Amino acid sequence: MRVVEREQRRFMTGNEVVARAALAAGADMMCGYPITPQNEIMHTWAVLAREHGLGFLQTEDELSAGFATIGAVMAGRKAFSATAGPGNVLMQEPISMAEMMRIPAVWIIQQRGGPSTATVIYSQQEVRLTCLGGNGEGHRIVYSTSSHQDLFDYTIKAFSTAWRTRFPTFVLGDGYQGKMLEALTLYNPEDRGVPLATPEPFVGKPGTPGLDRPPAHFRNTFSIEDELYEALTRNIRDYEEMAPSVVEFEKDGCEDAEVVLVAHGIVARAAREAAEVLRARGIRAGYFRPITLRPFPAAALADAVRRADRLLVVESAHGQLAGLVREALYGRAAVNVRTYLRPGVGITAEEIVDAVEREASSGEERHGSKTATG
Amino acid sequence: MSDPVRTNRHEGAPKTAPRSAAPEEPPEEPPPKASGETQGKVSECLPEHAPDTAPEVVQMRPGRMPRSWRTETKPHPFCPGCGHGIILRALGEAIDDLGIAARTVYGCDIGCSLLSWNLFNLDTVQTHHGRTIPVIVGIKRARPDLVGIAYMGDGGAYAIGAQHLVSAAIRNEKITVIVCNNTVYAMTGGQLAPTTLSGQKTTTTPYGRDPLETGLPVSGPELVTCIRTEGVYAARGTVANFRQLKLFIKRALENQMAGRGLSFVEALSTCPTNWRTGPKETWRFLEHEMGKVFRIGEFSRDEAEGKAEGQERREGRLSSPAEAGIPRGGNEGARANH
Repeated sequence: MRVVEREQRRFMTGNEVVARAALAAGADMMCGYPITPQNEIMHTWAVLAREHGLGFLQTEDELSAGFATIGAVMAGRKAFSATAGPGNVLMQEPISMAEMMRIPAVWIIQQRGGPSTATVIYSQQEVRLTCLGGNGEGHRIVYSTSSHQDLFDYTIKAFSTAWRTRFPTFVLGDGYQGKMLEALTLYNPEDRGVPLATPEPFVGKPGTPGLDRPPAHFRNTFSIEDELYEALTRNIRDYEEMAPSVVEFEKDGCEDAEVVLVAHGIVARAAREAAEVLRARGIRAGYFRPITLRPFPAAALADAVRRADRLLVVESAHGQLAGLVREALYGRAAVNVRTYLRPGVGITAEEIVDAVEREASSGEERHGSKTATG
Repeated sequence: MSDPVRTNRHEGAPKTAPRSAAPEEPPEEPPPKASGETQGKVSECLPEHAPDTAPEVVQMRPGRMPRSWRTETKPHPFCPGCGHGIILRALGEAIDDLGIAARTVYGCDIGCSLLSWNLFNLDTVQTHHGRTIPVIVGIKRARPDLVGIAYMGDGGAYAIGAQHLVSAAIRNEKITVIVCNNTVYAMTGGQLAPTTLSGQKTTTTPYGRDPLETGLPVSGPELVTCIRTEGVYAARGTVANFRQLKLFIKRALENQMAGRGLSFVEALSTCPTNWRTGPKETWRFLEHEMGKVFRIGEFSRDEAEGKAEGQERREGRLSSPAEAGIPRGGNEGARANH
């Protein structure tokens, strides 16, 4: 579906960007349930769906939205859903089924404050839930975006990744990104040679089952442990095999850095700016941003902090990214892991600069063994 | 996924022996060969289909499975005396009669219904507890040419998935929902279900269901037709009357195929395992106890038509508040009074 005549600069909200990106990626069905701050994705899609003859269903809750999305995918659609906060909690049930049954589908998560209803505005508190939610191993792919251009690029990419790998794929944004107006370049993926996936139906293929072809039998329940183990072993192998082709990160100035700022999503923009300010003030600061939170760019991060004395994890949550960082670095790098945690609130470059300078001036903080678990 | 691996709760039972069937269910044909030896041509394994020439005879021909059943996965894994096999046989024959196997997608829930995940020669999705309706809704909306069937127990339909049933009725989804009502949660060990009879003992109402504490049994088809009647087909059958049950299921499928609206069939069924009843007592409970509470028959059109006032509003002919002269977000009554 061509979303623009030709490449053009536009100024719009992140939620509208997501809906247009889904259209550009060839998505043809959305099932969703209202929850702030993702509502405008549905609003925009409802209009686009009518204009282009695509599917849209507002369901009775996120459970239904997620399961109807899976149903549509099984019937051959490129379907997606969007949610946030408590909706993301409910959505974990259908997502875990997609994970078990290897159903490709795309979920857009615009994070809001938590736990519970909390705020409708912003946080980075849905990292754990999105990466590892459900009663399984977290076989998902999670892209964390930090700009409107990211929202456009990675929503398009999420569809290709999901259908290529058959793992549920997420675009993890937040309310600031969803509601904010920002400039970006809209383009048609085919004009830039961006590959798009072609969905295949899982059920309802031509022919009579049992006569012309075997019936397609999909299940997520197993009678005995060994059957499950076999299925999981397959999934784990597939996940590990595809991970290197999916993992993404961004870094700057890490080669000679004494301190590396690690942040994802919209906070990464503040971290990048803070690194520049710190350099200008004589502190050799680097910047590392995991774009895929799952699979996590562990080797790249270990490499980026090789020469650093310490790294500072900055996030609008109380240690969710820091947990991923510690796990990634344990046994890979000897570096002090420090944190600047502001759960549920935004973080500016100035605050990060202050945090680094405060720490730099306090000698005590820098003692202690070099350990990734510090 | 299409590998005919059997889900068998009775791993200890010899696989080649015919399963002892409920007294009301004629014994089934033993499987043609031990499982794993039937990988050849599928058509060779299929029983010959006899035309329905004798309408007076109950159409359960011993030794004849519906064509839409998958012989490789028989005998089915349900307990002796369980009603699931009878309901699914009625469904299989209805599908055969309508000749829709090539375009049917069958969804089953969690609970004993999940054991039917490979029962049919139909494309099948086994979903989560209570979530079969939204999955089938997604499939049907994506591919309206398919016939979507959501099969579940009373817990899935009326408790954990009740919002999906209610909303499917509100939106008049063009799908067929078939609910097995055996008054208990069977797979988890015979707990209180929304359909448990007043006074009935279950593992979580060991002294009998007290309506003051846990309410009265829910009535599914009545619930559906309370929400919507136009285009809806709703009926309650019983495994005690196979011919009628099959007829209801057939009509429900036809209603969907005609694109009219939601089709809903509840089937009264048996669970001697959890009821802890022998054949006679099982039959008596189904026919007499359940029969007293749950009315058998069709509930759609004629019964509900013209009953409700303001039918026009209920059927949603007012397309939006703005078009009807109602302020956006407003409630007409409230606005008129202020």
